[in-house]
Amino acid sequence: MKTKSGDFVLPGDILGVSEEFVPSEWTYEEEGRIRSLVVGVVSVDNKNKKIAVIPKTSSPSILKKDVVVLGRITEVRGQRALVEIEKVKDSNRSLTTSYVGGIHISQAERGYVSRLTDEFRIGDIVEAKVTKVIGLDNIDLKTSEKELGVIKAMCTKCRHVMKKSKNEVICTNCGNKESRKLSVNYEG
Amino acid sequence: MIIIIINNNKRADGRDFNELRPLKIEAGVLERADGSAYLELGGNKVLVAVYGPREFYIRRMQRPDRAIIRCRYNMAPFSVEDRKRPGPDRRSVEISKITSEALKPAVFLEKFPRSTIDVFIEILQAEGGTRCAGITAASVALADAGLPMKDLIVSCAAGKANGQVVLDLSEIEDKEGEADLPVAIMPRTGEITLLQMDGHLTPEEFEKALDLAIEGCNKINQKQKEAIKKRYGE
Repeated sequence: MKTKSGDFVLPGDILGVSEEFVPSEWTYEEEGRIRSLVVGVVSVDNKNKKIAVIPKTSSPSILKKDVVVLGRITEVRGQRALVEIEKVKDSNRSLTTSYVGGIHISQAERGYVSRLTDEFRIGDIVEAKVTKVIGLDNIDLKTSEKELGVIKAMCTKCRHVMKKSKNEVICTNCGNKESRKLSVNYEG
Repeated sequence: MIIIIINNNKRADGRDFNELRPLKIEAGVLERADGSAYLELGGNKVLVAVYGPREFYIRRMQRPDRAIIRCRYNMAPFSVEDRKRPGPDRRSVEISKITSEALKPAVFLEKFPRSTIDVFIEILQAEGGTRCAGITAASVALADAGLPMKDLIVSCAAGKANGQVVLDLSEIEDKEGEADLPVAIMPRTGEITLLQMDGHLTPEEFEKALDLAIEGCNKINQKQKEAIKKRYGE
């Protein structure tokens, strides 16, 4: 009945008993037995006495710390920008429900930020990293990394897509210049 | 009028009383679905697609603490001998409901609050026992979608045809026979998640038929496991 790392398991298969391991990812405990939740392979961490299952199938998108997400700015307040999270980056599974995340002014960029409207504007497409998840309605995001930030911006005057030039963006239609927290992957 | 001839305890199609029809299950057959399965049981051909857990747009039906499973059982117009009028009818609405209720106990729905899991069961060809075939295939598709589950759900029917209690009724046995008893179970614990009866059975016959159906479920469960193992490898 004992399993070892690399064993192929199906949902409900017994991995061990709760005295030997701490149930970790994709496992559950029932009546003192640790069982698998999904189709996958067993991974035993003997140092920390943890047992987990690595899914072989694709898995539903779950928001947790350090996951990179794509979203749209819906509101820019004094201290906080709200992001409607669209999907988890590099996942082809849709989110399980609609989520709104917040980027605090201190988490927008490395240095000091005097006004949040210099970083984001409504409608911008951003790439951000999850820093904290409490329940379903309290998700904190950050963009203070090189690969994070706005990847597509629109002109606040004419709503045309803007082009990147150094540390600002220029409207292709009216020539309006605006500042943003740009990602190195900006593709306006 | 079709007459079922039983010679030396064999059935119309030559099966033994406790013999299943030839069964084939395949997992992960559809590219765009999150999970899918294809099943053939005798003349039945069933295709199942699972989408989700995904955002549930009907706000009043959302549950704040868990996901819900929505099922759609649909028979193709060409699935039966006479053309079936397309669209939902009383029978398919009932089967959709009992299928979602049969699958529910196995899935950890509380892991996905406010969302929905959509299961589409398409009967491409029908030959008796499609609801059981649908449930069996749907559970493989749920596992293929990577949903956290306690166990696979297996379903199989038993019944009474020509005075004999038999396993896995075919279309003629279902129509001409005395009773039909579809059963779905979670094979690890033996918990029953679906139990229906059409027709009449004495208490003794019922016990016998139930035991027979559970025995059939366990056989089908082996095939389900093999299908998943074949798809995702040892």
